[in-house]
Amino acid sequence: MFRQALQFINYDKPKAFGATLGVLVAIFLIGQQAGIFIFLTSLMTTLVDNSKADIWVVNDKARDANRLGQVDMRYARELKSIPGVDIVSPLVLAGANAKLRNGEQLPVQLVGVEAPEFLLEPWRVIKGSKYGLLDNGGVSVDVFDINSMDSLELGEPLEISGRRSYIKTITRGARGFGGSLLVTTVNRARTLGKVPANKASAILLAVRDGFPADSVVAAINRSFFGIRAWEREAFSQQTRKENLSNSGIGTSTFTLIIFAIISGMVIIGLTLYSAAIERLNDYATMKAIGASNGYVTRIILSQALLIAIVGFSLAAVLLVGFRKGIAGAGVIFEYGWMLWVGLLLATLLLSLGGALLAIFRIRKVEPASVFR
Amino acid sequence: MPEPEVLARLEQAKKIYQSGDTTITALDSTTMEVRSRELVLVEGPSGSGKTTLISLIGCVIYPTEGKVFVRNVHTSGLNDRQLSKLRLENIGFVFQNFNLIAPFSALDNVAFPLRLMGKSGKDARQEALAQLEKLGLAGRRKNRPKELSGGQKQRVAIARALVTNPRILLCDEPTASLDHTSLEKIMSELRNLSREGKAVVVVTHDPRLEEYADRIVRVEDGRIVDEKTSG
Repeated sequence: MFRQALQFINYDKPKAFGATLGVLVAIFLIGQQAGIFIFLTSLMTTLVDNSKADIWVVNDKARDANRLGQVDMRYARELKSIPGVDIVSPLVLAGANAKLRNGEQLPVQLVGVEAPEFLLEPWRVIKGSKYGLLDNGGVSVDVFDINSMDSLELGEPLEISGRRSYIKTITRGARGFGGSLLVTTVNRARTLGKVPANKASAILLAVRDGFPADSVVAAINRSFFGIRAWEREAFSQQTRKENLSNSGIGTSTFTLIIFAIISGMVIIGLTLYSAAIERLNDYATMKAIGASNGYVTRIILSQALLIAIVGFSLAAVLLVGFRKGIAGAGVIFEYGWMLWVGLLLATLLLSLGGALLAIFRIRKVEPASVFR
Repeated sequence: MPEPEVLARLEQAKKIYQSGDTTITALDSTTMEVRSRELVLVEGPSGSGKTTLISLIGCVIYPTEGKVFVRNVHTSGLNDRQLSKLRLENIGFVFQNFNLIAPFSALDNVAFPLRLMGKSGKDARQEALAQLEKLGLAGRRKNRPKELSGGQKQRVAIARALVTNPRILLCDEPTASLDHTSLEKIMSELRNLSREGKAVVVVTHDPRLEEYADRIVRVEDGRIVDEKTSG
């Protein structure tokens, strides 16, 4: 069956090339959009996902880790009394300006974390360490922001909100949704970001071994007014959901993917249909000799499948290249196995779906037409 | 020598085509038998119903009325799959325009019916090669149809029709595009096949073929108007 399908493909190379190109372009576009989507959604939840906290306690109106509002620090003291709570650590997020060597101002988001607990610490560290943040004026910056920060190096000074700070930790790919993240201590973030000493953006909790986080969350939400506790994963999901529903990123990506599938299906459909029309007499002969409709259907599906395999393989190579290429610009993401499976299914959908037109036409061919 | 066996039978078979408001009776209440060990020539002017007759015997269409039996199987009761199987196992076709499958090589064209019968690719190609060798075409086995001459194409078509050893061979104008030498060669081959026990039905306009026929059936206006057995 595949040999015969291959012979049909080989006989009409330009059309086979056109259909393969259709698969390649459609799957590459879908994969590219999906990659950017994965990157953006990972940025949305990067603070939550990279924290070691089991529970995030935030203002009861906060639904997004990037827009937390404030909670009063007295809650931090009270939370320690909840059974199962092991570590309580405030988190401060604050906007500030970093002044570059050339005098340009760069808006940054300060992330104040508490040492030595470090329930949130700089991730993807490539130079220095988290303990460098404890040094006088220590901050972490990301290598992809360094270029825009005038090529600053480890240990070099940086002016934030008019005060001198020092780069003590450099990360690669630890970037925020709203812009450059500068991780520092809670106190320094309060000072540079002008956050009152009795306020924090969130209170991060680590739960004692043996205590289920959900029961601690339930206990907190029963006992306190004005704050809400979330398990880390739940808060990550809530943040993603909030951003997707408000930003239109999800709709935009989904629409592009749907259009890529439709346009791919149309290209492949028309190409296979046109190839089938040109070979109507061959298919009629096959049927006259004794091939059933099922047999000729399988020959066309096999052609579509072969085109799908080649198109998908080429698209996969291009997507791996694309991922590596834009990783160099700080757009770092991974194509997980589920995405590859999804892309393969999309390839099969558009290839086999595209073959339907040709199949319907060929099934209608009467074997008697060979006598005319 | 055993009595000739009736391999195909039309009983009051009628075929009507509907084209918009127009009804065309291509074949009208025709009764005919096709027997083993005979070469039947079906003659008649264009549009007389020859092709419809051969299409009904070949089970590529269903009769509108009447019955068609192939090897005692009533074809009207069969679905697409069953009818395809009946054709594959019992009928070989040789078409006017050869109808070789363009993307396939000569060998793969001949092997195709065997593949349909479920033989492995290797076995099918071995048997197909043996059939091509019989017809002196083994050297052209890798060539596609467009690389073959008219006579070579026709011999590949015959090889394909014979490779499954069918009892009935239906030939639609098999000599239409052949020169005299090729015509003689092909018709002698067809007559030999009928002597070996096959039923060979040849549709033609060409009166030169009459000398090879055991029986000549003349069709006009969708009816058999004359039937004669040659001496």
